[in-house]
Formats: sequence, structure tokens, C-alpha cells
Amino acid sequence: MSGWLRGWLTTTNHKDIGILYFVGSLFFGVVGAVLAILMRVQLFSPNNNFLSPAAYDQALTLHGLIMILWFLSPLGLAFGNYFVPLQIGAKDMAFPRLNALSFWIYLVGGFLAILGFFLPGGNASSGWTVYEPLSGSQYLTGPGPTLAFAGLIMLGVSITVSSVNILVTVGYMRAPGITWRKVPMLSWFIVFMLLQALFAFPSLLAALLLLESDRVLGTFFFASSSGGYILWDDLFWFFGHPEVYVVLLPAFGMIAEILPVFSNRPLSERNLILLATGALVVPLSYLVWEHHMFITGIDLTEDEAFSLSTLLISIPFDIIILSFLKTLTKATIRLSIPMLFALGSIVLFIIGGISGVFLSSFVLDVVFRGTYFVVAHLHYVMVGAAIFGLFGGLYYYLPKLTGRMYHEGLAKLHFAVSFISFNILYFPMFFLYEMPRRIYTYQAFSDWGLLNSIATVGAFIFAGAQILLVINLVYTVWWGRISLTNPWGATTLEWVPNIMGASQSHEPTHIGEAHSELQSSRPVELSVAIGVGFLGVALLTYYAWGWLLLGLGFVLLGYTAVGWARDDANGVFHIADEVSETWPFNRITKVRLGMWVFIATEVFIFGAILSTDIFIRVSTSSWPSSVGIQDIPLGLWETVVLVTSGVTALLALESIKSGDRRGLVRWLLATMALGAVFIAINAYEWYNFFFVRVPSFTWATGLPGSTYFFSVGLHSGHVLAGMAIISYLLYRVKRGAYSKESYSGVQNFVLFWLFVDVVWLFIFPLFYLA
Amino acid sequence: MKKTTIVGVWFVVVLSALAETILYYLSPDASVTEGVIGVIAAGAATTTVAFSMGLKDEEGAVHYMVLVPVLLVAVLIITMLFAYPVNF
Repeated sequence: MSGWLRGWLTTTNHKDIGILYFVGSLFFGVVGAVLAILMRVQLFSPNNNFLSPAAYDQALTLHGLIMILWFLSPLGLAFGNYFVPLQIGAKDMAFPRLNALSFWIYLVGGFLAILGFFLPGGNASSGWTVYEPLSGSQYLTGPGPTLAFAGLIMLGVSITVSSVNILVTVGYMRAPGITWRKVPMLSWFIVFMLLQALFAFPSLLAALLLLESDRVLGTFFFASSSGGYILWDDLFWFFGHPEVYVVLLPAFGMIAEILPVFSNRPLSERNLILLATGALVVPLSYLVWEHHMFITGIDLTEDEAFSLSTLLISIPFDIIILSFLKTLTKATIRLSIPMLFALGSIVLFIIGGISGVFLSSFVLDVVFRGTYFVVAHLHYVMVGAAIFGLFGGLYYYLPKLTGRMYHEGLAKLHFAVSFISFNILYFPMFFLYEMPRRIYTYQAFSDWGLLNSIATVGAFIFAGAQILLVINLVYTVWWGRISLTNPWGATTLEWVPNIMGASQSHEPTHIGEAHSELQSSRPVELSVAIGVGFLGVALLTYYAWGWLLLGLGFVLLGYTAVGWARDDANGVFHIADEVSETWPFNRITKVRLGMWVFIATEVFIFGAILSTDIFIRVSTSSWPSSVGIQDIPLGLWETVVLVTSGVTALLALESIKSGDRRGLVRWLLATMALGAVFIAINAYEWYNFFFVRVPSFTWATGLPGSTYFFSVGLHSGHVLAGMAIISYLLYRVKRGAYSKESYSGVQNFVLFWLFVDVVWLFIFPLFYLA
Repeated sequence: MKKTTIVGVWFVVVLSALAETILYYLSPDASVTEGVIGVIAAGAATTTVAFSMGLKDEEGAVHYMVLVPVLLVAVLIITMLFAYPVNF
């Protein structure tokens, strides 16, 4: 393998990862755009048969999923990866290897989603919202949809891991003097974005795990008549609405960087913008999701509450936009390319935002929901405002990324054609407020044909305009003139060369240079292993050799996990773990902080799944008593065993804190043994349910079985993971690791193990005593 | 951490599980019993998180980080349960 390719595959440098995210997201953007063009050709005229209904539905579904989740969200992460450490004066991300893992999981997940097109039966076709019961195996047959949803799971994991990583980086690794007040706006908005992703994506993950369980194992979560489709709506939109801001906020961060530079005056009301976003947008984004469900017949009081919260969330955006406009008043404006895109983004956001206010009214929402009015609204916000803002950022930072200047004329043409064609494409859709979205064709009885034809022409021009961007990127890299170190006269840290201790920012990239000791092939290996495993999961229902792939995935996973542990033990990849001195995380180590943030996401995943169990139970008119199903004394013993393993884990920690390495080994072995006893009791119960009990009680015999086996199974998976970590700790102890002064690995394991204990404290009463 | 704290938390949690089980046997499937059992379980979990996991000794920001998802889950489940007044 060439050194160049090996460098890119094994790099953990934040700038390299940032560039990989740029390239990856632009690749998926092209795929999503091709699907969009196919759809627009189909809708160009009435009664068109360019695409079959099934092909149209697949193109529509994957267009939405790819554009929102594999193009727009990661494009924000590309800026976050490259520039956040530079802006805060950090050497790299808090966890560089996890950062690389995030990217490769994202990439492999995207390939899995695309691969679904080439499998028998085609890809998912139930819309980007993956609504139920349309996404169940009774309607969407074949392995393609299962594979696409597995790709989504990988994406959810990727963004959750990225969220933990970047949040810990900003919270923990700011250079001396970079107080929160001095953190630049892009970094602030990336933090806001990730504070939403942190708990939004776990909701999607929980929903997708349940969906895949339905499709592969035959459980009934979303197929049931006990509110299955509503359950999906709630879990999906709890993710889906914050996701709008996950896409949008990085663009606003870019605009907040660009406006002051090109208007030669400080950003107006900086603190007010931060307050409005942090104190209103972030929390409210989690409290508006049911406005996407007004037409499902929810209770009127909840209609009113969510209508109000949706109106409220427009206020902080008003504050942000008015502050942007105030920055421009009486300013000496340079209409350079980044500024043009920033202004374009503001204009498009105002149009999209105003049309969104209509949808906050549940009366109007009944009329507009499910029509092209919503399509226009969401594209103005998520495509117009976000893309123009991020493209502005791309031009702004191209001199930093490449060391060269882009072609000014081409860039101006790119902006002008993009802005005009975007409006040709989407503005007519506001007038298509009677045309249902997601239909593959329409009759020639109205003016729909003309408006659709105009939109399709706009789509072609808009797509063509993006070719100008690609040409300009190639031109810049190969022929662009060498740029000044700080061509715009910006004042933020990333433009200042040679900051002591910080990641050096002017050079394009550093593969194999400053970070040669921090290269690792494990992230890409682990991602491929997971991808192969998921491919097996998708195929095993239809082809016996799917089991072989699943087995291969597990073998690769085991190989990579052992390799990862050996790298750690041999010091091949070492990241220092000092105590933080930056507010508000004083006195905590980096890894422990990361562990707490990770646990916070786990709290939401388990919380969402147990909420699902409760919702299903309350929504089902008759639910069997646990007395007739569960062996309650056995469940109590399981509880005692697991809680006792928490004690032995704590004693292991106390042993190493006092320098007693033999005590550490003894208590870790005791914890492992108790974990094994817990799993054995679980296995005994499951054996009885499947093979002894008459009638048998399995996950496929009804909702009580589905909820029990899924929740307990997921928990047992965590216990097994904990036991694997104990093996890792014991291996490292054997290699001389851990002492009175250095025991953070043990400490973080204990935190995880006790969290698993806590989850069981809810599972036991929910399934054994109710 | 003191060994008395470790054993004390173990004792509280095991006692809670035992109390939940006895309550259930005394009055199975009564909604009040289920509510009380839920409160006891939450108490045991909070005790473990605060003392054994050491959350009480962490910085305030870490407290909020753990509290936020708990509150969000509470919002989610309450909203879901009250959205539809009748069984499906």
C-alpha cells in the first residue's frame, strides 16, 4: 500500500479527519443530488414514466437520508474537526483515535446505505422519515432496507461519538487564556450543534435498533396496533427536529465569522446571540418535536403546548438574524465571495423561517403538512440557509485549507447561478401547497405541471452550478495563486501562524509528520468489521451465507478489538490524561469527562427504550401479569448478583488506589465471575422461555416478549461488553499497567459497570414486578 | 471511597429490590403499587449514581450533563403517554 494511501487510512490528525469529512460529505452530496435530479425529471411533466413508482420512492428516500445525514450534518463536522482545535488553541481532538473512528464508521455506514440499491428488492422506500409501519418487513421486503437502516445506525454512532469528542475537546482542551468568552463564534456554534446531536441522535439510535429488531428478529414494536406508528413518530421526531438545527447552526457559526471580517466591524450583540442560541434554541429544540405530528390526532392540549413552543423558538432566531443585520448597518461592506454566500444564506433563511411560522399553527399545519409547501420550507432552511452558509465558510477557509486562493470569477458565477437557480427550484413549490409530497406522478388537471417544470429546470441549473464549485476546488488546489497567511484580515486564532503548543494551522495537512506516533489502522479496521457484520445481518434473513458474513464480522471485530487493546498496552498509541484546569470541568480528567458524556448518551438510549416499553404497555388494553411469566425470585437473585458485582468493582478500584495490584486482580476476577453468573442466569431464563415453557415465550410471540427480550438482551450485551473490558484491564495489569498514581482505566470501567447496574435497577421492576 | 459507603449503598439497593418484591407480592398489578415500586427503584438508582459512581463529588457541570437526559426522557415519556387519551 502506498505511503500516501496508508497515511490517509491511518491518520488521526484532526485536520486530516476534517479534510476527509469534507471529501466524504461532498461525495455523498453528489450522490444525493443525482437522486434529486432523477426525481425532478420524473416530476417534470404530468403522467411521466421516467421512473417506476418503486424507483421513485427509493430515490426520494435515499435522497433525503443522504442529503441530511451524510452530506449536511457531516459538512458541519468537517469544519468542526478542522477548525475548532485551531480556534481554541488545542493540539488535536481530545480523543484522536475515536475521531478517526467516527469518520470511518460514517463512511462505511454511507456505503451500506447506497449498497441497498444493488440488492434484490432495492433500497428503503418509506421516505427519509422512515415512517412506520411502512418501514416494517411486511411492506419493505428484501435486505436493502435493512442494510440502509443499519447504515443509519452506524451514522448515529458516528455522530454521537463525534459529539462526545468535540464537546470534551472544547470543554477541556482550550489553551490558557481562551476563556469561554473568547471562544470564537464558529466553535461556539459547533458546540451548540453538538449539544443537540448529543441527545437527538441517541433517540434515532434507539428507534433504529427497535426497527431492525422488528425487521430481523420479528419483534412487534412498530408493527403492533398498540400505537406502533405513533411510537416511531415520537422517537424519530425527537431526533428529527433538533437535527434541523444540527444542520443549520454550523452555517450560522460561519456567518458569524464572516460578517465581522467583511463588514470591518465587530459582530453586533455577540453575547445576545450566544445567549439566545444556548439558552433558547438548544433547550427548545428538544421541546417542539410534536409539531411534526399535529395531524396524527394528538391531544388538543399538547397541540397547543407544541404550537406555543414552536412559536417561541422563532424568537431566538429573530434575535440572531437581527443581530446579523445590525452588524451590517453603516458598515463598509466588502462583497467578497464568502460575504455573498453569507448574505444569501440570511435571505434564504428568512424566507424559510417565515414559512415555518405558518407550520407552527396546528390549524394551518393540517392544510400544509404533507404538501410541497413543507418541501419548499424545509429546503429553504436546511438546504438554502445551511448550504449557502457552509459554502461561504468553504470559500472563507479555502486559503487556510489549501494555502491557495480560489478563482474569483468562477466563485462569483457559482454564487449568482446558485442563488437564482435555488429560487427557481424551490420557490414554485410554495404554490404547490395542494400537491401531496412523495407522489411519483400527477394528473394534468391543474397548474402543477408548469410549476413542476419550472422547478425541474431550476434543479438542473442548480446542480450545474455546483460543478463550478468542483472546478474551482480543483483549480485552487492545482493552479490557485499562493495565498497570504491571513488574506481576509481575520482576527480569530486559526489565522494566526505559529501559536505555541497549538496545532499549526497554515500548512494544509500533516500526514505522517507531527502526528506520526498517533497513527492507527484500528479505526478503519473496526469500521469495516462493523460494516461486514451489518451486511451479514441484512442478508441472513434471505441468504444462509449472510450468517457467514455475520460470523466474519465478529471475527474481524474481535481481531480489531484485541489489536486496539494491544496498541494501548504497548504504548503504540498514547494520549496523556491529565486533570483539567478549565472551567467548568476543573479537577476531572479528560477520559473521565468523556466517560460521563458517553454515559449521558447511554442514559438517553436506555431511557428511550424503557419509555417505549412503558408506552406500549400502557397503550395495550390487556397485558399479562409477570407472575405467570417470570420467575420473580430468580430475578431478585440476578439483581443481588449484579449489585454485588458493583461492590467488587469498587473494591478493585480501591485496591489500586492504595497500590494493591494483587487486590485489583482479585476483585476484577470476582467482578468478572459475578458478571458471568448474571449472564448464566439470564441464559437459563431464556432457555426456559424458549424450550421448556408451554406455550413458549419468545420475542416473536407478542409485545410482552418483544419488550422483555429486547431490553434485557441490550442490557446483557452491555454486561458482556463490561466483561470484555475486564479482560482488557487484566491484560494491561499483566503488562505492568496501573498503579497508585495511574488508575484512570480502572476508574472509567467501574463507572461503566455501575451504570449497567443502575439500568438493571429499572429493568427488574419493569419486567419482573409489573 | 470508604468501604462502609460501598457496603452501605449495596445494602440500600438490595433492600430496595427486596422491598419492591414484597410490595409486588402483597398487591400485584395495582397501579399504586407500581408507582411506589417505581419510586423505590428511582431512589436506589439515584443512591448508586450519587455515591458509588461518585456523581456527588463531580463538578456541577457534570451533574447537569447527567440530569439533562433524565429530564428529556421524562419529557418524552410524559408527552407520549398523554398524547392519546385512550388505548389503541
